[in-house]
This record gives sequence, structure tokens and C-alpha cells, in this order.
Amino acid sequence: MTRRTSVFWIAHGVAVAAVLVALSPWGRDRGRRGRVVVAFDASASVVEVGAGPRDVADAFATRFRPLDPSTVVDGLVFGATAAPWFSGAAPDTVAASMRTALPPVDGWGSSPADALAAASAGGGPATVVLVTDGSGVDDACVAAARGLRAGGHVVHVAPVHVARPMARPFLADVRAPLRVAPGAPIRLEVTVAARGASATEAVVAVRESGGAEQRRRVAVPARGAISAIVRFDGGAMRGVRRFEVALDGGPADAARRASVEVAVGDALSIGVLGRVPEWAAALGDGFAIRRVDAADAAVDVLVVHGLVAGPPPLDARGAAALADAVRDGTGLLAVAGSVGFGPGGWRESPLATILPVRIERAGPDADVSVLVDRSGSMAAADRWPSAVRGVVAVVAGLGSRDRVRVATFARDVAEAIAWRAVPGAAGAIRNALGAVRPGGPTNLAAAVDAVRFPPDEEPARRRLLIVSSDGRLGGGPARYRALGHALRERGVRVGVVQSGGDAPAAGLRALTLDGANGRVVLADGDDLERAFRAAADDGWWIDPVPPVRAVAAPTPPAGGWPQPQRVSRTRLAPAGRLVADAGDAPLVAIGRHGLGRVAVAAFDAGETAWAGPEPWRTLLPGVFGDERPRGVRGRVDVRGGRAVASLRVPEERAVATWTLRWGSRRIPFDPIGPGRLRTASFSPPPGGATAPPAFAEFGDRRVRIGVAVVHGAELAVDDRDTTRHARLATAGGGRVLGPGDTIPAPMAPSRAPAWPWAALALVAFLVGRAVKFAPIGGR
Amino acid sequence: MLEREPILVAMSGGVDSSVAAALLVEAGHPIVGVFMRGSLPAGAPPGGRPRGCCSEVDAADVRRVADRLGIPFHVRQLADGFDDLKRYFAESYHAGRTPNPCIRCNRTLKFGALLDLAEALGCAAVATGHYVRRDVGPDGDVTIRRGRDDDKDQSYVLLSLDRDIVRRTRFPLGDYTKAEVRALAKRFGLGVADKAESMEVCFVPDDYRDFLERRDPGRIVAGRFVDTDGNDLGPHDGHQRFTIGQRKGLGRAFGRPTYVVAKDAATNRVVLGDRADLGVARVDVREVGWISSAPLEAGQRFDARVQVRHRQQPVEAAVTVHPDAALIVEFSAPLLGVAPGQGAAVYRDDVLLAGGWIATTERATA
Repeated sequence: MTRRTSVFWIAHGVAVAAVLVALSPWGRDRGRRGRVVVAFDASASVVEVGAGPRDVADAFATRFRPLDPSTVVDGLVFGATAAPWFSGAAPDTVAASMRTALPPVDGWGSSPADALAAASAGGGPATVVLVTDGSGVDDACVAAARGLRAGGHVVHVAPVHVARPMARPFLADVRAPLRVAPGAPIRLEVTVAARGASATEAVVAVRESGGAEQRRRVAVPARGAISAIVRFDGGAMRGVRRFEVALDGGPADAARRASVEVAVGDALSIGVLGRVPEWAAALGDGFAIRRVDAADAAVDVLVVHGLVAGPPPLDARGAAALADAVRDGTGLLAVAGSVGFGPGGWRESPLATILPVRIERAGPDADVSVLVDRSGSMAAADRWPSAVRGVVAVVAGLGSRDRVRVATFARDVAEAIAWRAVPGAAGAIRNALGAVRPGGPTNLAAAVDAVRFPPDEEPARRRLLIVSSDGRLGGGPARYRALGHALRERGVRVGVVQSGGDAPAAGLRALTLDGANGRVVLADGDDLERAFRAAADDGWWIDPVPPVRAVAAPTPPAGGWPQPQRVSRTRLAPAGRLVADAGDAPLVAIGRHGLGRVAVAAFDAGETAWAGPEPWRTLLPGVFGDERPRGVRGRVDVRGGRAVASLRVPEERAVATWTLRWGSRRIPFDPIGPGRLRTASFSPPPGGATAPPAFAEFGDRRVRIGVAVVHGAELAVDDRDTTRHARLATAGGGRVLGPGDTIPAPMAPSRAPAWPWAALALVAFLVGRAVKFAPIGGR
Repeated sequence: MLEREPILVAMSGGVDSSVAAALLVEAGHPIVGVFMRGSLPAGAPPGGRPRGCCSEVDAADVRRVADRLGIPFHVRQLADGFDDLKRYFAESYHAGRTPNPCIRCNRTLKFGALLDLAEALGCAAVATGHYVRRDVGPDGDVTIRRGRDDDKDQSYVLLSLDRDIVRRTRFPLGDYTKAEVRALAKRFGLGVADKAESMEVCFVPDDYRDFLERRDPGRIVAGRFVDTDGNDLGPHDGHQRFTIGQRKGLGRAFGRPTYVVAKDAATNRVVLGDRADLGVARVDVREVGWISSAPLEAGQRFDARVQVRHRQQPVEAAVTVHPDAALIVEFSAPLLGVAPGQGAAVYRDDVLLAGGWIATTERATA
């Protein structure tokens, strides 16, 4: 074979290969590998009636064939809202990733449209697999899928549903008072729900043990709920009254019967330090409210409201006694009122150590310039180390968005730390000042004159100058008064620490404009550190009130949450749990201290700006910890040898820690917040499958709850929803997955043209022909 | 930002009104401070009255606090009405009554002038540093309640106000104790945290007897002490020099604890007796104003607590509304040291229902 022939065939080979590549999927989709986002349905129609989201996810993992090992999977859960669950998981670790904490999702509604929006938010084309029963698929959802398709995403639908053993009405909730006073009527609120296709009727029967029965007929909407109120006359006898609640007719499974117990005795006792009449008016019946002057272990819950820390009853001893009482089991509700987290001084009180929030300085961010005297007088024993500790303490008390600058002065000024953000500044300051050796005369005037603050910003920042001096100044009072006026004109407040002397030096007083723009704190030796803090604290709280931000609370009471003035600045403590928030700040939080609970209302809405009694009527029993698990919806699904227990806490509850008792076993649950769902898998003991668990343990109390057992619920395609599934998949450019189907490769279809490959093929072909058939020159 | 009503704060230079102003500033209210000068004419030399209520020192303190808070600050002179107030004060003593000029001033001068000024400055309300709580019901009705600090409660001195005044007045300190207010003053950096309280009548810097002699020379003349049976016990220097319940300073010894139990201005006689003779069972209260309640109908009788002196704990009493709008107060137990001319505040629980002036007293029978 001649060389020409060889080149000809090689060129044709290249051309043929280019044509094949251009026609192949690899050529069309080359390299455009997308994400896989699996969105699990946690709406009521799935979770309440059937399995929990974890169960749905488990089923998804077993029903469908594994994904490409190189795929990266994000998971999210959706109900009425959508939230990320896990991210960046490899397919073989998806199951493990599912064990990460379930995010809070309001599961009563279903909004796959939200899920689609969340799934597409990660950037880049995604293959979205919507694991849903399809009940929430509506026009908006279809439109969202269509939009995703236009954006290069693909939406597949993995239909799941349980067989519907609970389509008939079931007891969704039974509410009863914790305690009633002797003679007080007992009001039970029974909520009946259904997940059927059409409205139906149910008869609620409530019978007191050994007593009369009352019945109420209710019309239950399809996939809705309705409440019936049943009242029983009060009795004079103290003790426990037990009521059996059942839905008449049909199988008497655990989801259609429940029991509640109401203690007849003393009402929840509330000891108020502060505004007793206000609380008496706010809480109304059901609470025995009295004024206490100090921590009193005889009450169920102590309320501290609007007090100022420092004087009794919130002096150091009083606050410590409060902490001790809570540690021993008394509940504490701390309401900061209009001053607590500001000038009320809770921040420095021992009370602050047990609150579920951390108190930061209020008001705008600050720029703090510190001038430290390094003259010869500071070389006296312990003065300089104390001053250094004082400066560090000042910086430690600043907020994370504050800025600080430190300079030292004697005859001249030396900048130790230029303007910088507070985080990490303390160590640098300690190092810089630690290397200074005091000596020389004092020339404060020049040092003050040289102080410069960063330029004005919006919103305005506070400006504070902290000066330490021995009081032997260069220049007379007039000079310092002029400096003081100049500082004031620049919006700078002054705090002065005078080391030594029995009275403030005239020049230093003049610098503070005789107290009108700051004050002079006298201190020496070890006291210098405290004095620095005092100088920084002076007048800190009086500042323009920052704008009020909209309150975003998960459970706004009737009338809404109070609007905070945002004088307070708090953040959630590590062990605190958020009940409601206002913008980026906690509004109501709850935590533990020893055996007791502490709730804090961190708003500063003023002395009478209440949201109404409901939040407090709800919160106080939760703080006491003797709350019956009203409205807790629990169920256990048993399939084969495995059970999945799930508990949901109603919105109005603060937080609960649960242990489920199943026969002799105890299954712990993580703490659960309002509206949250918790699930746990376990292997039921032999025989347990036929005996529903009867108790949940709440702290050291054991209370009866209704837990349903659903045997053999199978995930299956719901025929009724097939049309919805198909419509959604079609709109999203994907398909409805069947059992055993392979999850489509996480590739996004490419619209990339094939012409480069075709061109390559043509060029190769022409080159081959040219080489073979061209005349040979020079012959 | 919440839209908050502008408020005129009556500032005396003391810690209470200063903290009240600071709390309102902190709460985001636009604030205007005003210092009401009472007895001193504008431009009085600073050395004339350096300390005490309404003094130059107080004015300077108010100015400093206002400067600290960054609020506008005004001084207003109350001299026009003060002559009437001084006349009331003196004539009360001459008539054998025990006056309370500060409570009178609240009604006739201070709050009226403050509210007028507030209106002129565009302020929606007036705030003071009284330790009094003020609640607003859902229907807009205002209730005045005793302050949280029972020792410091000042609702008594507001007994002469009417409902329109309390509707337009704010009391930011009602939920705080005095100790808490001092702590707040320190944290606010107000510089008046440890300032002593002023308790005297602003236009009586020394002894009221000297004031009466300077004002009405010759009207205080010698009279006679008598016992409760009318027996003569000797001379005295004028009934105006004595107050009901006074034991010391009678000018002579009687060999046993002796108290002023009554005065008769018409005959210039001062009645002396034992402590038991001081007990008053019933008082007739006139010029009644209803503060936290609509006026009750004549003939109604209700249980209440009644206070007749500042810093006296209210005592149990039965109150009957008289047809001529007076209140007949019958104490559950004899109350000591009650004199005509004193104010009487009527409470239901801690709510200040009504107030008026004691016209006559009726001694308890043994």
C-alpha cells in the first residue's frame, strides 16, 4: 500500500468517527453533567396518613435502581414549604445522608412548585426527581416544571403513596387543660380530620371514666379537619379526671380513640417578680398568680418582667437565687420589657447566664478609639498590666460588627492597632500593648487632637473615645474643653479612666464637658480593668433606635407579635431553641438550666405593648414542663420487621423532648420544636406490633398519648394521581418512574450543534481524497 | 421605625424625671424637656436660692441631662398662678386647716401649664417622673394605679387630677422602684443618679411659720390650749404654729404625752389630748374628682382603701357617695393624724378611683 493510500484510509477513518460522534448521545451531551436533586414529599397527605419522609426516602432508595456512582445528589423535603435536607451526597451514601436532621417543613399543605424552585436554585442544570403522591400538583406546579425544562433542567416524577387505611376520619387532636381549679368546667376540644376523597361525617363520643358520655356529630371536610367542643361540669373533688375520646363506628384503632387526663386541683402557680396586675389581667383563669419578691420554689413558674438588674430583686444574690430555683426544676419566664437588655443591665446580671439568648450591646455598630497613657506614671506597680487588661475587656465587650483602634501616648502618640474589626482584635491588642514600656511625660491634648474616626457611614455608627490618663495633663481645662466640644461636634462620646488621684482632674472633666458628653472614672491598680469597662459602658444605651423590621414568627398569636424597638440585640444561645424570631434576632426562645426550663421574651416592645394573652398562656405551661402533649400526633408504621415512629408537635408548643415507650423499650427522640416532625426507626419487640405504644415520657413524667399503628402500608402508585404525575413529568421533560426503573442519568440534554463533528468529518474526507487523487508533481 | 408620639417631659432636675425622659428617648419618642420654675421669677440671681425644688442648681441639672439626651429644653415660669397658690397655703393655715399646696399646684398650675405648653409645641402628651402606673383599656379608658414600688408610690399626689389630664399624661416610672431608677440613671450616664430628693414646698424654703409671718404679719396671735373637754391648759403663740397630731414643740410640758387633736381658728384654740383622741372614724371629702372611674351615683356605697397623707399606706374604709357629690369615708379602724384640708385618695385595690379634699373630720368615740 502506498503512502497515499494509507493517508486516504486514515482520513476516511477520522471522518467516519467524527460522523459517529456527532450522531451519538455523547456527542450531543458531552460533558454537560448536571446535578441530581431528589425532592421528598412530606406533605400531610403523605406523612400524616402514610409514611414519614424518611420512609418515603428509604422506599425511594430501594424501589429505584442506584444512580450513577459519579453522581452528586442533593435532597430536599417539601410540604407547604420546602427546605434542603442534605447536599452533595454520593449515591452510595444517600441513605446515610438521609439520617441528617430533618429540616422544619410545614407539612400540612403540599407545594411541589416550591420544591421545584428550590431544586433549581443550586446553579447549573439539574435532574430533578420529585418523590410525591401528586396531591399538590396543580397548574402552578406544572408551569414551574415547564419553566425548569426551558432552563435546561429535567423533571422526573417518582410516584409514591401509601395504601389509604386512614382515608376515613381520624382523631387529629384532643386538647384539654392541664389543670383546672375545683368546680371549674372542663373544656375539651376534639379535632377530627380526614384524608378522603370527599367530605364525610363523624360522631365524636367523649366519655368520662365512670361517668356520662357526650356525643357530637361533625361534618369532616375532605382532606381537612374540624373541631368539636365538649364541656363537662366541674367537680369539687381534687384528683385526676379521665376522658375517653373515640370516633363512633368503624374500627377502634388507635388513631380513632384517645384519652386525656385533667388534673383537678390548684391552678398552675405563677410567681411574678414585677408586674403582677398586668400578668393577672393577661393570663386570666387557669393560673394562680401572686407576687413574689424573690425566687420561690413553691411556685410552678417564676416570671421576671421589666426589672432592672442591680437593685433587688434582681441584684446579684436575687439573680443567683433565681438561677438556683430553675436549676432545681422551677420554670422561669424572663420578659425583658423595654429596658432589660438595654439600660436594665441584664447583660451583666447572673440571670444572663441561664437565658437561652446571649445579650449583645444594643444600638448601632460602634467605632471605638482607645487612647492609653503610657507615661512614666503608668510604670507604677500593676498599672500598665491592668490598663492592658482593661482595653482588652473593652474590646471583648464590643459587638462583632464594631471597629476598634488603639493608640498609646506619652510625649508623642504611637498607634498600637489601626482601625480594624473587633473579631480577633483582642489578641493583637494584648500583644501590641504588652510590648510597650511606659515612660515619659503626659501629653494628652496632642493625642486627643490626633484622634480620627472613619468617615461617616449610613447607617450612622456610634463613636466612642476612651482615654486613660494619670490626670497630670499638659494644658489647662480650656484647652480640653475645646477638644471636648470638637469631639462632641463630631458625634464622639468620651469615657475617661483617670489612674490615680482623689478627684477628677479639671482637664479631664473639661474633656467630658463636665459630664455632658461622658464621665471620668477614677481607678487604680487592679480596678483599672473595671474602670475601662465602666468608661465604655457610660451612656452606651442611649442611641437612636434602629428601624423596626418585620416580625417573622412561626406562630404569630391573634393580634400579632409585638413590634420590637430593636434596642435589644440578642442572639440565640447555643443550647437555646427558637420559638419566634424578629428578623435576625430571637423574639421568644426557650432553653434548659438544670431541671428547669427558661423561656425568654427578648423583645423590647415597651411596658404595655403586649401581643395579648395567648402566647403567654401557651408558653407558661411549656416552661413549667408539666404540659400534656396536647395535639401531638404520633404514629408507628410497622412493615415486616421494622417500625418507623413519628411524632409531630403542634405549632403552639414551644419545644418538647420525648421518649417513646414501646412495651419495655424506650425509644428516644431528639428534642422537637413547634410544628416539627421527628421520626425514628426501630425494631419492635415480639408481639409489640399488635400493642400500640401507650406512653411518651416527657422529662421525668410519663404521659399517655395516642399512637397509631399502621400495618403493612405499602408504597404504591396511586392510580388516581397518575394523571397528575404524568402531566408534571411531561411538563418537566422527564417521565414517570415505575418500580425498578433506573434513575435517568444526571445529564442535561444538550442543544449543542453537531456541525463541528460534521465539519471535521468533511475535512478529513476531502483531505483523504485530495491526497489520493491529486497529481504527483515533479515527475 | 415605629411612629411614636412626641411627648413633653416635665423635668425637675431630679433623678426621677431625668430617667423618665431617658426611657422615653430610648423608646423612640420625640421628646421636649421643660423645667417649670415655680416661686423664682425669671432672672433671679443664682445665689438667691441655690438648692432645693425649682432652684438654679436643678435648672442646671435639667440642662445637663437634656444635653446628655440630646433633647430640646425649655424653661417656663409659673409665677402668675403662684400668688393664688401661696394665698391658698396661707389662708388654709389661718382657717385651721392643713394645706397641701403641691397637690393643689398639680391641678391648678402644673399640669394645666404643661398641657398647654405641650399643645403649643405639638406634643401629644405630657410625661412626669411620678411613680404611678397608667393603663389604657381596650375602650380607651385610662386607669391610674399605684406604682410598683409601694414605698415610693405617688398616686396620692395626683388625686386632684381629672380624667382628661390623666388621659394626656404618661408616667414612665410606674413599673420601677427607686433603686432601679437610680441604677438606670447610672447606666444612662445622667449624672443625677445619687441626687438627693427634694421634699419641701418650693416656695417655702425654710419653716412654714416663718413664711406665714413674713407674708401676713400680725395674723398669728396668741391663743389658748384646751383639753378635749374644753378645760383651759394655758397660752400658745397662735394656732397656725400647730398641726394635727403634733406632739413636740408645743412650748410647754404637760406631764404626759400630749398631742394636738384639733384646732379652732375662730376662737384661736388648740385642742390637746391623748393619742387615742387623735383617732378619726369618718371624714367628709369635698371637691371630689373621679380619676379612673366615671362618677358613681349618689347613694352608692363601696369598700375601698383610702389614703390621706403622702407615704401613708391606704387603709380599709367604706365609702358612700353623698347626694351633693361629696364622699363620706368611714374608716374600718380609727385613723390617726387626719386633718381638714388634707387630700383623700380613694383606691379600689391599687386603682386610684377618686380624690378630694377633707372638709371635716369626725373623731372616733372611745
